Amino acid sequence: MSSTIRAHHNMDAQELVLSELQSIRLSKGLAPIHIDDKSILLGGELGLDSLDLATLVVTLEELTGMSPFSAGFVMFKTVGDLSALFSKS
Amino acid sequence: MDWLDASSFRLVENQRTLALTELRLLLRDIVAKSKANDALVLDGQSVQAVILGLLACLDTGQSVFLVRDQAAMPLGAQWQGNQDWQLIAAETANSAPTLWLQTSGTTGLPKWVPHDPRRLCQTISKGVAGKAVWLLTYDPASFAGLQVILSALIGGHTLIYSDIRCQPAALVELALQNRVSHLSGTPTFWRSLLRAADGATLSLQHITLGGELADQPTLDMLSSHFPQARIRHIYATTETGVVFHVQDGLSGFPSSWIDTTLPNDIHLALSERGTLLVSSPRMRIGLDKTVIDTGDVIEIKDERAFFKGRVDSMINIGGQKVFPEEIEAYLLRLPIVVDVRVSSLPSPITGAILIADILPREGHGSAAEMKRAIQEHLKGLPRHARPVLLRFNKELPTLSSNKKARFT
Repeated sequence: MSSTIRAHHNMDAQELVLSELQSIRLSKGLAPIHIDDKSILLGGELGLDSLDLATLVVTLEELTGMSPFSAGFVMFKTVGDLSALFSKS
Repeated sequence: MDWLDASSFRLVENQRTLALTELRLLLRDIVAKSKANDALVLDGQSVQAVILGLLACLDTGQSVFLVRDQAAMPLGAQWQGNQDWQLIAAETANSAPTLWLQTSGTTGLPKWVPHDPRRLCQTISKGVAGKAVWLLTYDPASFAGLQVILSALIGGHTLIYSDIRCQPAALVELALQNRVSHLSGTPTFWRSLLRAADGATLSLQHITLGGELADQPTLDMLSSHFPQARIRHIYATTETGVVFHVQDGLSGFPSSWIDTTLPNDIHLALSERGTLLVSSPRMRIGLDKTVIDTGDVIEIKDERAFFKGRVDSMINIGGQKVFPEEIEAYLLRLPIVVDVRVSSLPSPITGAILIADILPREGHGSAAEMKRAIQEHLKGLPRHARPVLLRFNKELPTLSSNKKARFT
């Protein structure tokens, strides 16, 4: 039972990350593309720079009320890594 | 006694009118109880007490402490219940009467700062012919508050004050009732007053902005609402008092004022880090410096010196420096933005990121539409200087000094 709840929350976070990523791309005049868990956030094909990524993180923090970096920096590279940080454990 | 125009001065505090003779009688009772070298501690929340303090300093030569925050009482003073004055034994070493003011305590506990009361009076001019009606919007015992009180006292004008000074709508009503002609406030105060006035015709003749950076949109709004008024902004520091007035309706000041001595004998210069340095023959007492670094960063554009912001409010966004005050002034250019506070949030990627808390003008589209308009406007700034999060609020936090609360 608990694993299905977790899976559900994971999906919420992932959906949120994906939709915010697409809207950041949209605001930069970039067309929607296929993004999945393995997509690299910085330096990959997403076309994001560090300011975009900082914007994404602060938006996620505002929307979820969570602050996964409050205790210090946590390494993350992919969309999946970031979604996991914003999933309720 | 000849330092003020005693006959015509009136204080109207919380709707009660007092003439100077009545205040002098009150002071006489206090002086009768005081021993030599006693200093007078007064409740700085009331204008009556502040005027008593000024009279005690200037007329009876007593040192005076004006308490704004009871969390930091002067040594030896302790109040019970509704007590609002006390005599304490003063340090005998200080023979000249000293007026002690508390800083507003924006950061930590307020500090006690000594001032020479006679020097405070020197920079006040008697003002225009015909009697003015001043409305006090500052803390009575703040440096800016004293400037207003002294202006009204020395000129023999009427001074209006009410505890409701933090409620703009009630203040507009008070100004209308009393036909206020002279009003001094922070830009934050003026923006909230303009919103509350909403078409009411205040008979203001003299408008002063002080305490915060006077931005162009606020100056423009004031001159279009009050075309008959003279508008000036004041630059002052706790250490030197008033440094200069600017009367041309433009933000900042002429850059030709830097590296010259102004008519008031004050000399301006720029430090290596771009902050304004002020040297004055009227430094406040107890300060053994001839030059102070104001911490206000200056940028010169087209022979005009602009205040960018406080050096300690600067935010580093991925290595790029941003002043929140500058972004606020930029956002205020949009008519839908009544007021705004820009602050930072920590970011794991860029170190910090900007957010804007916005007080929107009502009836100008949905939140989503306003957000889009603001985002479009923000494209005029370099990317790192654009707030990434826009939050709409019904009011913005301000301090009792009517300055924008700054914290992150």
